[in-house]
Parts: sequence; C-alpha cells; structure tokens
Amino acid sequence: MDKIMLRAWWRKVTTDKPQRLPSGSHAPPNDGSIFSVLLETSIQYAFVNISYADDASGQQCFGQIPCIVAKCGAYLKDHGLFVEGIFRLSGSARRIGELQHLFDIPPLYGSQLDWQGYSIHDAANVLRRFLNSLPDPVITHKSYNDFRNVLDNPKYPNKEAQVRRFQGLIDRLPLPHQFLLLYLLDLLHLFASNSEFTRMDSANLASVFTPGMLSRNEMQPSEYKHSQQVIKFLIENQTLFSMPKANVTRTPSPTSYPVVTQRTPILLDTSSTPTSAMTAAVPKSQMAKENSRPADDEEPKRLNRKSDAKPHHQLRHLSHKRLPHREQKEPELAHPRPIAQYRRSTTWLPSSHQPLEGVDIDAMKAAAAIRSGHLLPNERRNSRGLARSKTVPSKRPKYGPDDPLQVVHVNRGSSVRERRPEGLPDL
Amino acid sequence: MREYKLVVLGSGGVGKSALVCSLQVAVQPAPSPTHSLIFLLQTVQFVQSIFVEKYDPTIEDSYRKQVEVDGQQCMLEILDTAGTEQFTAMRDLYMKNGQGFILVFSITSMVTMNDLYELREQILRVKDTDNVPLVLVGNKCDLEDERMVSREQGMMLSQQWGGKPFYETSARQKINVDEVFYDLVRQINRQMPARDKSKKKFKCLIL
Repeated sequence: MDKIMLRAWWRKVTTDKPQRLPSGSHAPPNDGSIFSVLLETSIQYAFVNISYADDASGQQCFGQIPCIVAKCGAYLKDHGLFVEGIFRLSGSARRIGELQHLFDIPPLYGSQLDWQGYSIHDAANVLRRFLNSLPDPVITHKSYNDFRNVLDNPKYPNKEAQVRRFQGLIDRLPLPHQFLLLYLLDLLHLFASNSEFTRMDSANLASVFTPGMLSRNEMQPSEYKHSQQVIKFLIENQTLFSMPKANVTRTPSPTSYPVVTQRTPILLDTSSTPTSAMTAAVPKSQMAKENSRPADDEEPKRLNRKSDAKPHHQLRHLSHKRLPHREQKEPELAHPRPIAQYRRSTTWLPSSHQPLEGVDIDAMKAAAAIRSGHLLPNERRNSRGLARSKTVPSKRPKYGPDDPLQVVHVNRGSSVRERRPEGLPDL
Repeated sequence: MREYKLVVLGSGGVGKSALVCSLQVAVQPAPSPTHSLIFLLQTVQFVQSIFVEKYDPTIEDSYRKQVEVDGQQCMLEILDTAGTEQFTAMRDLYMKNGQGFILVFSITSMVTMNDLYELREQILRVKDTDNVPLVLVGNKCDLEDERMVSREQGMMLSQQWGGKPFYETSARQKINVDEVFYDLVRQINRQMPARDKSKKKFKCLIL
C-alpha cells in the first residue's frame, strides 16, 4: 500500500515539473497537456505552423504557435471584430471549462474543433486562460525587468530608440515566445484598430492581457499598471516589430527550432511603392491605414480597397500555393477585383460561420474607420518602412494535421537593416 | 469610527466600478491624477445626473467613504476588483481581508450570474465558514429590454445561498445602490458587533 502511494506521489512530483524533451523526440514529456505547462514544452506537441514570407528574398519562413492560440485567434478574427467588450466580458464558465479540456488533450488538442455551440466570449476567455496559465508568461520572467525598463528610460529618449530596444529584447526571448508574442500583438492590434465597435482600445486590451504576457508572481496593482503601459506600447507599435527569420523553406518539424537563429535579411527597398503582395497580407484594419498615405482620390479608393481586403482569401490562396512569392501574386492583385467577386469567393465558408459576412460590415467598417479618424497614425508612414509583421486571419474552418498554416507576412518595404545598421550592436 | 472592509466581486463588464462610483459620487477617491479627473467627472455626473460611460477594465481600486447607517458613522473601505479572470492569486488575499462581499452580476447576461457560484465557493473556502456577510446584486436593471436574468432567478439564487439579500440595482440611474452597501454594513454589524474599545483597554490594564 505504501509502495503504491509512494509511487503515485513520485509520479505526481515528476510529472508536475515540465521537462525538456531530448531533441528529436516528439512524444509529450508529461501527460501531454498544454495548460500550466511551459510553452517551450507544450509547443513541441501542440503546435500549429504559421508561415510568413519575406518578399524580398521570396523565402517562406515558418514558425509555430500553440494550437489553441491559432484556433482561438482565427475564430476571434473571423467573428469577434465587432463584438463589444471582446476579451473583457466573460463566457460561460462551464463551456470555457469544456474548451479548456478539449484543447488540453492529445493528440488533436482541439485542432478539429468547429466551435459549434460555443460563443465568441468562450473562445476569448479560453485563450486568456491559457496565457494566464503559462508558468513562464509570454514575455518570460527572465526578461520581465528588461521590458519594463524601456519606457521612461532616458537611455531610450524617443520612440525609435524604444522600438529598437524592444526588438532587441524580443530577439532574446526563446523562439516559441517570440512567435507567440508577435502573433498576439498582431491580433491585439487588429482588435484595437476596431475599437470603434469593440470598445476595447489598446489600453483596455493591454489591461486584460498583461497577466498572461508581462507579469510575475504576486504583482501589486501599481506594478501591474506599468506592465500594462508596456503592453499597450507594444500593441500600438506592433507594426514596427519584425518576425524572426526562420531559415527553412519546407514545413518544419518542431525540432527545427535550434537552427533558426537570425532575422530575415530584408533588402532595403524603400523606393518602391507598397505592393499588392504586401497589402494582401495586411489585415483589414491596416488596409485603410495603408491607403490613407497618398492624398489623391482618397475616399472611393479606400472604400474599395477596404472591401476587397478580405485577407483570408489571399491566405487561403497562399497556403495552397505554399510559396507566396510577390511575383506570383502581383498580376492578379494589382487590379483590385470587383467587390462582388470577392464576396462570392467567401462562399466556401460554412454557412454557420458567416454572421458578419457581406456588404454591411465592409461598408460599416470603412465608414467607421473614416469617421473615427483612427485610420492612420501618420507616424508609421513617416518612419520609413520599418519592418512589419502581419498575420492574416485564417478562414479555414478547421485545421487538419497537414495544413495548419496561417500566413504571417513580413512586408517588403520593411527593412531590418535600416532599423539596425551594421555597426550598431545588438541591443 | 468603525471601518468596514467591503469587496466588490463579479465578472468583467457587469458594472462593479460603476456601482462603487455611483455610491462614491460625493467623495474624493484615492488621490492620483487620473482619479482626480474621474472625481471631477463624477461630481459633474452627480450634479447633472449624467452617467459617464467609461470602458476601461479595472485592475484594482480602493475607495473610502464615510456613511451613516442607523445613526452610526461608518467608514467604508471598498475594494473594487478586476472582473476578468486574471488575478486569481490575489483573490485569496483580498477575500481573506474583506469583511463583507458584494457579488455583482448583470441582469443582461446569464453567464455573469453563473460565474458567481465559483466566487462564492472561493469566499466560503477562504473564510472557512458558511455564513459570510454578502449581498447579491443584479446590476443594470435599467436595461429592462436586454434582460436575460429574471428577478425570480436572482431571488432563487439568494435563497439558495441561505437567504442572502438580493438587490436589483442600476448604477446608471442610482437605483438601490446605497441600499446594497447599507445592507452589507448591517450584516457585518449583526455578525461581528463592535467591541467596546475602552472596556477592552481597561481589561488590558488589569492584566
């Protein structure tokens, strides 16, 4: 009897501590759950590939984010952009518990979930619960103080210096954390740009997400508020941060992590205009921002582009081709298709999945964006092509084991080199 | 003057802060720049009876307010908590320190009411007793058109919880707000009657 209890105790003690896998092994090291497990552990068995293309080199890079984040992220982008209080209001405790269980069990980790019977708030809540459960938050404990010491620091007097410093810090995070952080920032930026409808601006989103992103144990409220400021800054300037370069051109296995070491070397090409390939991968909200740069015949063009900015089409398109080269896409995207055509092409969605689809939303959104005047913080334009990373909302109804790709795009106008000149030491 | 440590709990967006602020209108909150601005707004709101719409999630705020309940001056220390599921670790602490609890849901959302079961369980666990001064509050009762939780359901829940008082309030229209806090103070008074301080001091001297 004692022996059994001792063994049970030993098992409990040993499985509670997430262990690192010997490289090359795919088997879950613990009971294979993802909640309350280190990200670097769980990413090895519950991951979804995201791809992001570097236009200049034409190279497709891959990264991994947790399955639950990709599933919830895609669903939220599809259905949550107009929901007031998204991420703040609570879903049903019972359903969130169910979702947590679904996402927590191997081998599928909820990848086949079709969200039938679950509300958008359930999805938002389970995503936050996952982040909050991470033993080491998205911005790791090790980097906690560094991230908090950038703003209000005389060493980094202006935004550019701050952004550069943050990028340096992001580069130092473990790779799974980098991917997750940049993915989340992109997601939150998208929602913040829609705060007209969601009432969740970057400050509100930051306040809700800080515990899972930049926190440590037993934080005091005052300390928490500073972390919130940091996250707010990161969300607002999300477009200035770049994805890590992964030097693989095939679908990677999780073990390809170690070889991924440097950032995408993007050729400096500021002379060229933003290409359609670039806009293709930019989320809807950014479309309007892109467009407000040139002053000529603004309004109709903006509306037009907005409504054809259904990024998931391109995404789908891209992920089928698997090689989203700019050259390939440019001809067909240079001339925006008629709106109707785009709309028709959304019919592959399951009918239950499109409460927001259609003319009204596009028009509403465009009008609101214009009305609210938060179309473009001009500073981004002025900052001459800093690198931008963009994820595209996926319209894939579900992820199979073979095709779980979400496209993340690094803009071709962007330049890491410009931001970090040769001589400048890495921060 | 006796101090009462009250904690306001409930899920995100049910109007906890609005409820506290609604009680709070004539009182200066903790001095910080943002708060003094809010204070100004709230004073205006009180005078003109306009509900100021804010939408920022609370992290944690505490307010002090002096009120008179049954002819007795009381200092309320009200802790306004984060609704969204984020400070689970800190919850234990303020539940331990709190003397009375206001559990708020929104009558426009059933799930916010269901969230309260767990919160109550946690309170009872932390307090290690079955009888904690507690008020159940269904806020936003001015939004009758959007009502999802009937008054009866609220009553039923409060009965389930051992006949705890249930109020339907509107922070916007300042309906039943004061009553909630007064009721809680009375419960605390009943359960933990104030000790006579001078007498106690005297005893100590003898020892």
